[in-house]
Amino acid sequence: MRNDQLYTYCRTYFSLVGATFHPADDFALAVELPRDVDKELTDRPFYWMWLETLRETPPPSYLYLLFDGAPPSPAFTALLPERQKPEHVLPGSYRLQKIQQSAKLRGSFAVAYERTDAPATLWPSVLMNVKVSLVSDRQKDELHSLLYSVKHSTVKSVDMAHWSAISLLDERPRTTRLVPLPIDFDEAFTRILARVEHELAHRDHRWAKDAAHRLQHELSEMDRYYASLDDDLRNEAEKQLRVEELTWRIAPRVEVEPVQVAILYRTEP
Amino acid sequence: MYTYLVHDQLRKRLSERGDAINGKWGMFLLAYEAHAESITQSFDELACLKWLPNILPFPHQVDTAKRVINELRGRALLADEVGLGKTIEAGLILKEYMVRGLVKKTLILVPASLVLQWTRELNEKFAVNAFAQRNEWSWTSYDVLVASLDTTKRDPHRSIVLGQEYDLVIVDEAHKLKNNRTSNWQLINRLRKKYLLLVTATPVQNDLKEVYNLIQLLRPGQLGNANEFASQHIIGKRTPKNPEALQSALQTLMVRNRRKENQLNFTDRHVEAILLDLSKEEMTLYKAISDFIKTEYQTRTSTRRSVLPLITLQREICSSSYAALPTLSKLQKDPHLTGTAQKRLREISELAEQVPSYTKVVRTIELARQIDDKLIVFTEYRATQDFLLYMFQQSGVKAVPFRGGFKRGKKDWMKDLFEHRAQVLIATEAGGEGINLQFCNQVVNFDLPWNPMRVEQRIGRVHRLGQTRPVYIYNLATKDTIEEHIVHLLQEKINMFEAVIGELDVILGAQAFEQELLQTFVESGNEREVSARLNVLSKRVRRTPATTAKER
Repeated sequence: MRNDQLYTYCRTYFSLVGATFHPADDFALAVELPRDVDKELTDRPFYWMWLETLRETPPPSYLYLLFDGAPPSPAFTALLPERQKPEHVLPGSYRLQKIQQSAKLRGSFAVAYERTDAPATLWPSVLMNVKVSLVSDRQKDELHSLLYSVKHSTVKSVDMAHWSAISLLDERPRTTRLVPLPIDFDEAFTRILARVEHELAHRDHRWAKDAAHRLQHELSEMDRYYASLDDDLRNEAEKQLRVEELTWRIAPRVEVEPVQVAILYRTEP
Repeated sequence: MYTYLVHDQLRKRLSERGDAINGKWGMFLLAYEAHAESITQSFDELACLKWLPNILPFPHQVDTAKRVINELRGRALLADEVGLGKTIEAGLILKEYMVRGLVKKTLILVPASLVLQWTRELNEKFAVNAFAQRNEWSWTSYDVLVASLDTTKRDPHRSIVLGQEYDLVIVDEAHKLKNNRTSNWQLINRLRKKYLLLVTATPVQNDLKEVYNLIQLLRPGQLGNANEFASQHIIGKRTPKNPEALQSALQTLMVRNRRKENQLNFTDRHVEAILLDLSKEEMTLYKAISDFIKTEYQTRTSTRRSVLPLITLQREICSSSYAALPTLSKLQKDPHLTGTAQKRLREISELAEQVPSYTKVVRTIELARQIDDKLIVFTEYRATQDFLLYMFQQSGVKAVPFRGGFKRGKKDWMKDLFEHRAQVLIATEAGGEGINLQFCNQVVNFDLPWNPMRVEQRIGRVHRLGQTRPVYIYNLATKDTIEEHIVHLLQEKINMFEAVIGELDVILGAQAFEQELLQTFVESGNEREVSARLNVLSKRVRRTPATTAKER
């Protein structure tokens, strides 16, 4: 993410969690955190445990964030309490990691409605984002977006860029009516994950063949080495540990993890 | 062909909500963006680079991390020459595995003096939430833990560590694992670990078996069993049968970057030998000790007794008479010593007491005043260190000590005092290991180790990546003593200070070098013979880089 994208990302995040904005420079943020957000963005479990045990109300926390790497203006510096330094938010910085972690947690589930001013009937679908990891001693990931139509019980792959671009609403438009179709999430998960599995099964998994072959080679080399040792030097427990480590490290596996799920109400079923 | 695993945490969380979904679409999109940002779409690329806000690694460090992950598959010996940033390479590899989700539980074992430095660097440079081990609860409380190897190998810590499994284990200064009969080696061998990085600039010090033992930890059998290794690769203890074959066998597990091969912007090194005339009293003492050593060396070699105390004494007296005092008093208690030798030792002790002033010390203080900037004075001996510290104090120059025996906090404190308050740091060898002092660019070798690799370790404290100024090295040597020969050998003949001899460690062990030096000094009848023998020794050393360069 570029600096301006980071700024927009964080500004959107703080706005969505209901933080209070204070005046700040361009590409800077001064925000007062709601208590639940404070807990997620700062590593202070004992502090919170202590306050909650004593039923104390802590003073609100503030964050002073800079996004363009430039020093803050005198006006922004004047906002800072004594001994408080502004934080530079950069890709990989601690604060950004915490914000993204919090966003991942809070954005696991959503309900959204198609925007329309005309009277319309909205049908539910289930949108799921699934992380697929191809793992041996190296790893690569993919993010799949799939849409399950509750009415037709069908699953299709979709492009999240499309959904990001169109404007969906958090509230049902007044002119619309929702189809009261019960959503069976077990069914939705099963259908979507079966589709992912099917798609993966029909791929060329050369990486997995290579990894399996490498594992076999390493195991046979290990056998050869331990067989070459004199009886008094051969340690079966050690060999067993090395074999387990090899398998742990190299054995190929595909890991599938649904990371987000949303119900979308749309005019098209 | 592969195992298929489905993680069902999201379904469980939804069930806990009674399958009632709510949440804002805007946050859903932010979460998607965060997921998309954190996945790694290629096996080969170094994905962590975009997550490192506070560091711009050098190309050779990025290449090393890629090679370790993609070709050596996460089990490797990182053996760059001193000052090329092995810590950064190990940090990059750790971060990459963490970003990809392949590593969570990590154990980093380092000398006690480096625990805080490693912890700080991982946090500051790599945004890795690493903790320094403090007590027996630390092992289970933190995912990334930095601990001292010496603490870890003792119970109750050892049992706790052996009871866990680690995604990644990093051992810094891994030459401490050179002997497979030690508890250090046994601990690493018994640890349950997926990836393993051994970090050392000197994978071989005295014996080729040392590198065999390191490789055994990474991939048992890579070099065959011990007998096969000996028959295929070793002629003598320190001589490989076929260096090309050994190097090729090592290449699948070892990365060794050399300064001269990498286009790195190291600042210039300026080396100056400062030859000093000893006072009459100092020279009388020096000669008395040298004569004693020569006589005693003949007696000991004919009766096959250890000559080690004599090597020590000869080296100590080159440093200062203070440094020699403990060994002299120990020798006086030796029951094998003849009456004449006992008497001679008593006379030597008296001579030592009569020395009115110390030429080298006086010159070092003068030098500190002339330089008028941060300065590190290296000595091999604790007694010399104490004496220097006292003399600096007397002369009004602020100096702080640094040595291996200090506890972690004290080392950090001394480093900070040196950086912000004192002008001089007086360090012993062990204290210097692994610490980074790039803010200083002046080094005085009060005495020189007889081991060229240790000389390089010393200079590597300041002449490393990150040093912005030229580095000045002053080698003190007293005329007409062994020291003059040593400085000449290391500085002029082996060209130790301008050109780094990375290959030396593989070809010639430290002890061999020291022993050969002592033999030269005690067995030569006169100065010309000493020079001639040292010439031969230096030629043997100088020949090795060319050979190895051709091998590559």
